[in-house]
Amino acid sequence: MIDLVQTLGSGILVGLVYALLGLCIVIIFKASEAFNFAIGEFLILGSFLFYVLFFNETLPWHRALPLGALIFLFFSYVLFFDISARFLIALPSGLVTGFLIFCVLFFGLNLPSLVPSPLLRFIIAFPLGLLAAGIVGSMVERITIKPLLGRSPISMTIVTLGLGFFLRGCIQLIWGSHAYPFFLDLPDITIEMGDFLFLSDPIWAGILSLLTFGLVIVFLFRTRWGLAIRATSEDQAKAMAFGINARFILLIVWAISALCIAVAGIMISNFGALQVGMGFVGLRAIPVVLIGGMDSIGGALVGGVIVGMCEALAGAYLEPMGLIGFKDVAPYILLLIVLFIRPYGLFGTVRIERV
Amino acid sequence: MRSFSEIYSDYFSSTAVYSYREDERIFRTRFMRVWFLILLIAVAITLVASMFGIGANEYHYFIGNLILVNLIAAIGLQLLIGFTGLLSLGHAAFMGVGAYTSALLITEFGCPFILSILVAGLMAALFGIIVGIPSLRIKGFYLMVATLAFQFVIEYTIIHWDNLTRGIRGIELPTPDLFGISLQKNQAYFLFLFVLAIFFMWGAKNITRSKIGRAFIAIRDNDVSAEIIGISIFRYKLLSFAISAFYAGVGGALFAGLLRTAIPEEYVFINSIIFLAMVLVGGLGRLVGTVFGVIFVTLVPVLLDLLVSFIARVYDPNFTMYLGPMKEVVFGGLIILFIIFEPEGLVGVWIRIRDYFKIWPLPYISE
Repeated sequence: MIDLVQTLGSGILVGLVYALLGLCIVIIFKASEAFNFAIGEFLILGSFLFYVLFFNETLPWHRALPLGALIFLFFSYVLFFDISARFLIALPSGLVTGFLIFCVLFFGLNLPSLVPSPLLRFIIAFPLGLLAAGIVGSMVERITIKPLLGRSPISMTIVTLGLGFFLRGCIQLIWGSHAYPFFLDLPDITIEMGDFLFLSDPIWAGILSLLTFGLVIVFLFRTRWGLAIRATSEDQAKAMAFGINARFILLIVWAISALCIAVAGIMISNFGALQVGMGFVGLRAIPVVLIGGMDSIGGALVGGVIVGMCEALAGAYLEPMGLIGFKDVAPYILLLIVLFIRPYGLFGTVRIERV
Repeated sequence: MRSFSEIYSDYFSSTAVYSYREDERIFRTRFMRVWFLILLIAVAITLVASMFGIGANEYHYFIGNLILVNLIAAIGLQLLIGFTGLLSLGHAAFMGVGAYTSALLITEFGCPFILSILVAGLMAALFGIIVGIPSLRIKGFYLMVATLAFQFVIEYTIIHWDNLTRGIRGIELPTPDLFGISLQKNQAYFLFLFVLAIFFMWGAKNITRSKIGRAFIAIRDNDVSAEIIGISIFRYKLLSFAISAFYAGVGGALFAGLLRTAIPEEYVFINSIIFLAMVLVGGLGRLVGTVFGVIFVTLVPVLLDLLVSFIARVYDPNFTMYLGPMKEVVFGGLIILFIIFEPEGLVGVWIRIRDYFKIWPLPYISE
């Protein structure tokens, strides 16, 4: 019995991280009806961006320079064509941004020597890393998703499949495929009550994920921008008729999504080490959203917890029976069962199409 | 008095047909027939020439074999995605089912190679029917995810069912032979695969121009109206899955025969994506497109290999470690670029070029 509670508790803590991943999928699906298969790669990318800032990882010039140039081109492009700034403003500001990025990548931010306290360093680096992830997310949306507006959602979904491979290759080219030690050194809040033991890292992961989840919900349901996003996901054409810039909304949604995925990625990296092979964890979001329902935000939370528990139970009770590695497929088997019984998930909108 | 352009168009590029029968011919224009003949002659010349040691060597034939195996499997995916409009992310898993069925039949029961290919296809088709069952209730994206889950389950089974599949060590196969003729040399295997590929291509073409194919296309274009005009959607969707999986299973068995081993790494998720890339790059809904797509996507890693080894030789020997990531970047980039800029795929480019050359000396044909 104690064993069961312990397992379920750990499962729920991990499940909260999965719920955050599910949320990222759900908001993109609601806004554009497309599924983001590149979620695993966004997860690694976000973690790497945070890693660069937090641990002062630097790159050699032949990797930092192209990245800086890319940022320069992108910023100038967006400023000039999307926000229609003047050429004389767009070009220099793009140059400055690209140069800044190059400096951060090449010389490093030197945060460890500036801020000795790990907690303070985390508090500074965390928002900066998330901001960087958000910017990358919006960049990706501008380049790959925006040209597809008006085409079928399936083609957007297939583009994200290609995007996943593209990003993974890029990450490997930039940072290599070896493991980076990842240790956040957050305050120890291990809970030890009688026979129960919940480690500090999963608890932090659960708390921060839940916090991010809550913040996103507050943003969606209590702010003007959130209202615009919800209106756009309800009906794009009508929202545009009411004066909402639907294209810009899509950009914001992708930025938020990339940002939340980065939170989940940092938390998952904190369990062990950071490496490219970790990307498969991102695909765990698929069972989460399908169990919860593709267009239900609350469903993502429930689905995440269910998948986390299912995984923990499979790991604790089925793997000792000789099914090694069953933990990784158990969510997909659960997903297949759910698809057979309730294809639209537990809380998804029921679309009746009897053909 | 007929003008030059009329005579020219009548002889070489006439697309005018006078009956449904003519409209449904495999090679509708003389242009296509001539090109097919040129292809056959080219293959024959290459094979004969390499018997005397001129031209293609064993490595070239190996790449040719890869292309043909991928072609056979990709035609199946084309029938599923391009003609029936059902997306699948589990094509490599079907190939795996075929490869392992064939490998087990050969090693455990001493079954002849050619028979094992057939059984592998049928086994994969059975799995295809099982995967296709949810397609009654779910479609589009949900179906994609169901096939993805199937892919992961099969991957897991292949790696962890040690007693049957021997896990990550894989199953070693003897040299394939055909009625006593050894297919040990890649050249012999190439001839065998070429005949099979033509046969399967012909089969697929016949499917698409018969009642079944028209039902597939009706389901793809609008499933509600297809149901209304009396097409049993469930049956045809299952049939599509079964045919697609059959092609994949045959491809898998042939692939295992080519490598002389069935190993789990060849049937993982990324390979499913590569097959998807082949079909998309080639162009959806066109069997010719699949040929272009398969050749293109199979040759890209080979060319990258050449490029990387060249740079490694000239510049820095450590450069070879970038090969894997570069392949991923190129594949991902190809999928993105083709969907954004050329949704019709290479076949769209081909049609434009063909239409230009059909009437080549003239800017247009007078009607």
